[in-house]
Amino acid sequence: MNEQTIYREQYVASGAESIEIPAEAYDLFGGADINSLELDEGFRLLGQGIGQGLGGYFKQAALPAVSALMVVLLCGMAETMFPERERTMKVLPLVGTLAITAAVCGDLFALVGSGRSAVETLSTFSKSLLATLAATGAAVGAPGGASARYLAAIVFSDALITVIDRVLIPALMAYVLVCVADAAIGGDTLGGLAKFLKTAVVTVLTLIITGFTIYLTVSGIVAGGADALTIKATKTVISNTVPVVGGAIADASETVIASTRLVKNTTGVVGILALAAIAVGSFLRLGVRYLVLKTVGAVSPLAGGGRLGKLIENLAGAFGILLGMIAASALMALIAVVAMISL
Amino acid sequence: MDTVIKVAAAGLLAAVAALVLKKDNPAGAFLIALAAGVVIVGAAMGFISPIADFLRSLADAAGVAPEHFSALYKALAISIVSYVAAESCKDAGEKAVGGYIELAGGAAALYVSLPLMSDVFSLLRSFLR
Amino acid sequence: MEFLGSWVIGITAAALILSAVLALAPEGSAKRVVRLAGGACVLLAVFLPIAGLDADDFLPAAYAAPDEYAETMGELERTNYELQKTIIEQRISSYIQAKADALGISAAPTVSFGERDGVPFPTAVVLDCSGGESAADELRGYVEQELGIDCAARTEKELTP
Repeated sequence: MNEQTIYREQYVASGAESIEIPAEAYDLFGGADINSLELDEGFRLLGQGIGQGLGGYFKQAALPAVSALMVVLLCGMAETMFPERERTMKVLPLVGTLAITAAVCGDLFALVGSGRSAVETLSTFSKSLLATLAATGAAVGAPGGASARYLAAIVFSDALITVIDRVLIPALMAYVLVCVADAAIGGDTLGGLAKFLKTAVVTVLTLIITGFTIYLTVSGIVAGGADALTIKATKTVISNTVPVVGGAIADASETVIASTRLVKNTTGVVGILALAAIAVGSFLRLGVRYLVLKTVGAVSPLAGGGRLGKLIENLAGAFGILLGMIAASALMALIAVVAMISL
Repeated sequence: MDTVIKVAAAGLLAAVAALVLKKDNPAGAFLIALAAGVVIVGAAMGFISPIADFLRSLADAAGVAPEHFSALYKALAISIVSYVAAESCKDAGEKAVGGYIELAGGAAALYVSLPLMSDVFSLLRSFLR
Repeated sequence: MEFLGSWVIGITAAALILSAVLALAPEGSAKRVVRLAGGACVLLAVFLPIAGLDADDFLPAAYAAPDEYAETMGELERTNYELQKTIIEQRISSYIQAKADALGISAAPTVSFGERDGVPFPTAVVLDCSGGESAADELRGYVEQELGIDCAARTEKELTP
């Protein structure tokens, strides 16, 4: 029975073989097989993939941003050309607002959909990954800790998705509505409400992540105490036996545990790389849009559109909120995986 | 609504009466002012009953034992009583006495809140066991 | 989840009570004490529910370890157990073989296992020997003494009908 056979059998039994790595994870690795990568090599390839894909992301972000800028320019020109036409002047900001909303929000809503599915992909993938990591973690002698961490990850991951679905995405929609209404009405009446919504979303996400980390740590410590006892049992059996047999048992136990640990670490590395790839794709898409729109919004006053510029900046903020949601779920998955690997 | 109007009317009457009496009978003026204060605050307490019911239902929702909140209400009562007394004294020209009453009121309120503080402290300590 | 709901309601209620009481308290040093006491009440509302929690409240019984994990863990445990048995058998076999070689016979050991404290433990060995009964007997005695395992030796004569 050589090491490779042992590894292979454990690889299958722990479910590592049946973990489905989502398609998105492969995109950024330039065709390399994630399963065979080392951690630093994986990140290097990921960085390369990002660099190559960055141009594409900017192109995607350009369309709505440029459209918005054009609206601002047109409105600015109309203002300069027809200052005396009062009725037109009153309607102009409203028209501009609607035009910008049309230009940007279609893109935003599409990204909300893909962001939501990214969160769900992260959750499903991390659950199956964690199942294997927990099983191997339990097998190397920390069943209580593995079980506690696994359950924590599952519960909080589900809670996060529920909160995102029921609270945060509606809050995001409300935020967009409030910003648009604020721009249409003028003045700064609804500005405070918009700011509150944004802060509320960020606070909720932060609280969930913090709560998760604290709970993970506490439950891990509590469960870990019981684990120390299991290892003692094997040692007692070994020490109470004749040297040859005892040596054989000890040898077998060590080999098996070392191999299990190898399976755990390899699976963990693949998992981290895959999680990073899934998350990074979404980050970049959203992050680039955020930057581009923020820039357009900052530049708008120069083109004569102060109020419209503020609207564009606020809509950029909406992308930022979405980014925060995905970041939170990616972070949670990553924390859980790292906690499991370090068992 | 009625009560507020009555209170305002009573207060104004007492103020006028005290003003009239001040020159000849300052002690009497002081007593009228004090009496008015007691009556007005007493009338305000008439609002207290429904407020107290509401606060009690809130306290149930908070899941905190009623004794803790009663300490809070006692402190509130002490603050009101000491305020009325201290302001009356200051009105009568005895600022120093008013100050002492305020000091005593603060100390009494603190004394009443002591069980509350020690409960919080022991609760936090129990987390560190 | 209901715990979170009632906890948030509790904190809100305590905060409301504090604001109401503060609104009633007139200015003065006593008001500061009232603020202090009210803050203490809010603290209690925050921490008392937490103190009353058990681990059970966090992971309600209905949320037993999801099937996937229990199944995977069971399978991995079984696989590891079997792997350990195989390795132990190999080690013991090679030890016996070495001794058999020294005695000038060949032996094919079969190890049967029991369990001690969750660890696979060799309980009996059957030797299929060829090359002399006395040597086989010596080997058998050696195994029983050195390894502390019951041993039975079968020689060719017994095997062939």
